[in-house]
Amino acid sequence: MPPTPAPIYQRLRTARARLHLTQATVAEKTGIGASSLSEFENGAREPSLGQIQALATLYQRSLTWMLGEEAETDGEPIVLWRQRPPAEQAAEISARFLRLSEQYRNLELWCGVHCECDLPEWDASGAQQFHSYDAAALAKRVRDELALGDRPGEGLLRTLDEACGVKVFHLAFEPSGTAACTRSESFGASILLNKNNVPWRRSFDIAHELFHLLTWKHFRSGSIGDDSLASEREESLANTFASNLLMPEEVFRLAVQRRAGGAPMGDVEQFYGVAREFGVSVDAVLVRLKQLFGMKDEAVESAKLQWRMWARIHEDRTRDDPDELPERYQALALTALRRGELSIGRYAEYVGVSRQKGLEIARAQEAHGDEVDPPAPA
Amino acid sequence: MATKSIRLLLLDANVVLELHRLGLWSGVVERCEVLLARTVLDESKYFEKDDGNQERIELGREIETGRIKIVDVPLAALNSFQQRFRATFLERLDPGELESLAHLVEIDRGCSISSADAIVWRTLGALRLGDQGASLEEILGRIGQTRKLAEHFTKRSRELWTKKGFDEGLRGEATR
Repeated sequence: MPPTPAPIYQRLRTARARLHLTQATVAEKTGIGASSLSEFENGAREPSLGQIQALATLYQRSLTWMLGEEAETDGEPIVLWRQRPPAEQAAEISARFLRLSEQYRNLELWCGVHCECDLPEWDASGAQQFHSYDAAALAKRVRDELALGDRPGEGLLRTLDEACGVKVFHLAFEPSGTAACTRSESFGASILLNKNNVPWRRSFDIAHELFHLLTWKHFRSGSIGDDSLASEREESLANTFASNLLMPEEVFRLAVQRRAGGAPMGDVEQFYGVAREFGVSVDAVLVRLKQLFGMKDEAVESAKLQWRMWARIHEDRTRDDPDELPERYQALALTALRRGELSIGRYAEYVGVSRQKGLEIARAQEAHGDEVDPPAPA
Repeated sequence: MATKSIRLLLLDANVVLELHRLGLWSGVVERCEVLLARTVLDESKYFEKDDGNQERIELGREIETGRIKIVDVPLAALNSFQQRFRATFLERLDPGELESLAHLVEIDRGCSISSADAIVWRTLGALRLGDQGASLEEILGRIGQTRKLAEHFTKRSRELWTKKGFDEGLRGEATR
């Protein structure tokens, strides 16, 4: 027999504690009085549906969760951080990331599209240790199986999102180096990138996070300690994987040869050229040079310093401002709206626009001949 | 006060906004006994006029004078309504629709509901309450008004989606 759902007062306490929020902060952010909040959480008084919705929005929970449809805490997925922000900020961003992942899953379900995660998985059976050469081999396998080509940097995100069912979001947060990922039975695999980062930095981040998703079971099952942070060893392996994935050895060697003509590479413009070719940062190129050509640590550090000075004046790569929501997510939301799978108000909430804008979009769909379009029977 | 010809219309926010945009809100309130769920009231703050400017929706006076009535649906009724459906089905509704439907189904089956959303008609159909839906087009017809409306406000749209919801209900795809 399934357990009885927790009452709302308990859910309200759980949801607030998850984000490390005080009642005073919640009162300030929602406009609900602190004494009312206290009464709601003690079960002395019931909140109205409008108040529940306001709290659900702040707590990044669905209304149905607040009303007791789903289990209270079971199966809360781990969010694995690379350079985790301070606890309160990490909790807030993690909650937003998980909510978006759930919403993405809902859209997939409502549109009747395939929503399984199609990633090659590293078979951990019998292997106690994961070595650098395993990471390199896994990178080659992934590149081959996903047909990523010789320079996967710029197309990796699209392939993961459109072809592999990996949900990739861009949110703005500090410190700027962080990214995160998660895996769940419910919504599959998700990656969170920092939209404040430059595209070539994010391409490395996505490859790095991909390693964690591929080896999730190996490193996360029965692990000891804080599951929301990886060990130094695991992080190092993720970097090795990312380097190998984005800068395949043979292609990288040829690129270096083409630019340096057999001499050791030492010119900042040469580093920059290789970085552009592979869609990565100059720092990532220097690490790869160290791995493949035995570039000394001092030379790497010196090159990084030269690069920083040079880049201030000469770097001219195009920066971007990625949408928080993946294109596929937005397309699914529109399909769901057109097929009558979700309300205009919920559509507006899912894609982050006003209700009025949602109405306009619904109207525009009809004006373009996309009239009510019932989905085919399941 | 004269008896109003149409009893209890639970409107969702899209219908409230559209009636304001068309300048027909007062006419409907005049002729119908209008009920709004509290969440619908919260969602109906502004509407966009044809010239693109936003205008505030002021319902305070009509509430004070009892020309429209606001309903708050208790948690027990919301829970009981939710229990009727399969997981994530109600996630498709916005809070105003959820509260309006819960009121209709759990508290007062004597009223009708008006919406612009297919999912509302599907829900009514699945619960075999399709007869209690009224599109904006039908409401305007009842008060002697006609306007060219977007498809999602039409009787055709309501009937199409109600039928779909009814079929889903028969197949057990929406309800428990």
